[in-house]
Amino acid sequence: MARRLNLWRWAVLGLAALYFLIPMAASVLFTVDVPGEGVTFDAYTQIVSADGFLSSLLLSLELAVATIAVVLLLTVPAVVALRLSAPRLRPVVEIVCSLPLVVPPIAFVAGIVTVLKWGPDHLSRTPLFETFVAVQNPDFPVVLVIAYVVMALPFVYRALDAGLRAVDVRTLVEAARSCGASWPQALVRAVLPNLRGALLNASFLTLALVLGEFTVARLLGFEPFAVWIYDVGGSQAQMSVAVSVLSLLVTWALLLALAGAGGRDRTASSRG
Amino acid sequence: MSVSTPDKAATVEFRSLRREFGATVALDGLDLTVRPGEFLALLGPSGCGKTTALRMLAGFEHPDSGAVLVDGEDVTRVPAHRRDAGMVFQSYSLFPHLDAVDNVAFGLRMRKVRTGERRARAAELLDLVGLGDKGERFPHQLSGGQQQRVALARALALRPRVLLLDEPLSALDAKVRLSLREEIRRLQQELGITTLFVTHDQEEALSIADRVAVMRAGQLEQCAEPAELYGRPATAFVAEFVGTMSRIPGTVKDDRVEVLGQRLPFDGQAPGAGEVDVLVRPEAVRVRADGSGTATVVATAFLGAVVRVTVRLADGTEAKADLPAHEAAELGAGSAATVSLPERPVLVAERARE
Ligand SMILES: Nc1ncnc2c1ncn2[C@@H]1O[C@H](COP(=O)(O)OP(=O)(O)O)[C@@H](O)[C@H]1O
Ligand SMILES: [Mg+2]
Repeated sequence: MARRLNLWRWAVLGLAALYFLIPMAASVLFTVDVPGEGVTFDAYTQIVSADGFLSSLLLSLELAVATIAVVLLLTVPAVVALRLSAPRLRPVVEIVCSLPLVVPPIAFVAGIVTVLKWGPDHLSRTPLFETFVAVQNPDFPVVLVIAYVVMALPFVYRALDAGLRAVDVRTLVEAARSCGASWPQALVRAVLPNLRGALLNASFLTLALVLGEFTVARLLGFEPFAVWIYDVGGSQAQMSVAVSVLSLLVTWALLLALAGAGGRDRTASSRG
Repeated sequence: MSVSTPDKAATVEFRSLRREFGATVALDGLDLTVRPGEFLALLGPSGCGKTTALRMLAGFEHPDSGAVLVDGEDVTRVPAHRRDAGMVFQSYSLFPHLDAVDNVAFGLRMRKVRTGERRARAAELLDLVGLGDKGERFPHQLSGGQQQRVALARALALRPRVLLLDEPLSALDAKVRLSLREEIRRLQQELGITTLFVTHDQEEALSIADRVAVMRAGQLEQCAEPAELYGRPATAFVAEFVGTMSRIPGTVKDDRVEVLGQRLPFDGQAPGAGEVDVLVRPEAVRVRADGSGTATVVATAFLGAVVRVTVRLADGTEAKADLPAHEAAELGAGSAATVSLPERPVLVAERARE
């Protein structure tokens, strides 16, 4: 009986693996096997040396880091405070945080575009005009960070909420306070280390979101990694596939790096 | 020992504390003084406001009116982290990400004590609670009793002026509970620290405290030494909450109460002439097998040294009596018996209405 079950599990796993791996393997094969030339990595070397590879990747990373920082700084104190002092407000906050899920990115970006157009027209004589310009600086488009923070909110909130459910925040805070910790100390020294998994999850999801985001960035006219991939791959079939394989690998590498960093920190911080 | 030596034990005073949560009145004018170095148990049924009182002293809860004084100084407005009160919580409250040593050293770290020094002191405290060899363990690798010991060491690490314990044993199994409560008592006596121990278990309170404060509905009912509380309860509530009490109907007539065909003196004021209940402890009730008796044995329970016999009196009320095993042998369920009381003053209370 148990053996039969085990067999089933392997069968299902195998099927799932095939479902994911066959297209990927086919893609990789397609990019490295050039008819008449044998195996060659030309497609990849071309990408890496193509104009804008590094700058767009860096821009995406900067955006991701900024978004993660902003969204965590906003939500962590908020959800902890919510747990401690206003648990009845939780459903309200949950709904508000989920709103970005139901607004399609295309509508969202249309709204942003409208504001960006309207603003300068009406504020051209005020210092706010400068703000509108700065926000759209193509070297570091703050407006994208703002947009991504909103888009990441549902995922981050859910990840943190799940993490908080597993710890008794009130007792941890009170135990820390009775040991002489002030409020911020209690939060940083007693609560956050026990939310490490949740924080890591939230960062993961935000990173993946920012790296793969296309609609908003493209329609606002910026060129982070995803947009660059689209632009460079559009002209040549083999290159466009190579580019998507590469973007997959880059995302994986970054997620692994983040996980590694989180894991190492854990052992490092357990020493007082 | 360097671990002990609190400079001078503190006095704690609750002055007419009042706290409402919406419609519930958690504390309704609580007045209580804890003497320096005393082990005071705060006893009462669940929901009577014990935890709320303790949390006010810790600084986690603020009174609507009234004040908390430590050594005569009003600390009502002092934030929790400057209260100088060590606390052990009912639920397991160790920091899951730190091992036992770092948990104990947490407070010292907040005080910016150097790493080597605080680890040495933490190790010393772990020794004190008998866990010197478990310093490297994380909370999930410790049993419930061990976790509460570490929590106790953590609460003592900053040499607090008062030690607060909120039902620290309630999540443990009976055996561990017994040994740990003796250990808490031993430590408290060794350190001479003023201690408030919250519990709803009257046996626990009576067995370890210097004095027991019985609370009811947010107010202090009686605060006295265990023997006095048990022997001379001030109110019917205390009498019935502390230990086992049976109510036997009686009638007050000229300074005496007529009960079970006897005329006995009674302690204190009668709640008024006429129908009353006489309150008696099981060890004071005598039951004799008697074929012509009007009482019937309902049940017997073997408690070790004694047998607890439940009898139904002629008028239908039930009383409990503790008898030595050899006397109880002939009192099987259903047998007829006679019930009497010793010629000593009894406690009377208003007749209970059902
Ligand atoms: N934070 C709170 N919010 C609402 N009601 C509370 C709160 N804390 C305590 N209470 C209420 O106050 C009363 C006393 O509570 P508590 O002090 O915890 O009792 P005890 O510890 O004696 O069981 C209870 O009825 C409880 O429901
Ligand atoms: Mg309680």
